[in-house]
Amino acid sequence: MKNFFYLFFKSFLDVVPLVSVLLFFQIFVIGESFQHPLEYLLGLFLVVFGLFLFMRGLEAGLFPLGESMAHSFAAKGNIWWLLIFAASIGYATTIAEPALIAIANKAEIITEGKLSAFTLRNTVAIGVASGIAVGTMRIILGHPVHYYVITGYTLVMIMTLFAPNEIIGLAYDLAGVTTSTVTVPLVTALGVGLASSIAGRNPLVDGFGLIAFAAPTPMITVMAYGIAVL
Amino acid sequence: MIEFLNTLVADFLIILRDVAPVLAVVLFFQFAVLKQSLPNPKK
Repeated sequence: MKNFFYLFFKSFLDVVPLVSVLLFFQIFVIGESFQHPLEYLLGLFLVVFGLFLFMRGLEAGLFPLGESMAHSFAAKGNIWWLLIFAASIGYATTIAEPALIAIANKAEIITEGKLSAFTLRNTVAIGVASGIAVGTMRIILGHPVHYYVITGYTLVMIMTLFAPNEIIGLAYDLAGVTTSTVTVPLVTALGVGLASSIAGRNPLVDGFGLIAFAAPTPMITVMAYGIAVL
Repeated sequence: MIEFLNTLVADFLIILRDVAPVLAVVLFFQFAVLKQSLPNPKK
């Protein structure tokens, strides 16, 4: 019970900077009092409680499970299954991202149906899946991460030259939302777990960097989709 | 208050639906490919 309160307090401390910024601007810059202080307090409590549950869920469930599966795949020694797993995790977590769903729906409305929300979500998810698979291959081969990232963004720049103007901003934004709540914990656990189970790999050097692969590839696939339909 | 609780339950169901594909992938690979049980299932 003591541990529960300590961890809850830690979650509260994590939210303090954000609350301080909001309070400072509301009171000292805008100079207005809060219209519904009780509702705001309840909302703040829910944010802290939600963050507390999310962090405990990651520590107890997602991180150990992701790492344990990465260890098991490395022990099994079948690279193809590992790559299929990495791509599937990338695809499934991206398709579940609430921010992606919101932006894709908005894009369909704004373009009056020229861009389909369903196709857009799948295009982004396929981009992330291929990026995570390439990133996993990079960990297995032990190549430096920056070679891949530089190549990825060079391809993004080349695609930008050919993509219609209407899709460029959307493609760049969609790359950002793919690395959100659901994707990051599982993909990080996969990368760190894999790097710590392959001989000669350092979890710090080789394990991190997998998330970086989830950004340029969806930009490329979404711009390709834009070239095809706009 | 009832409206607030309704929103809370609806949001919870949406999250369950969104997380279902992730759970499906993890469970499929754990049981069908790796042929292992979940480590520390209680956790």
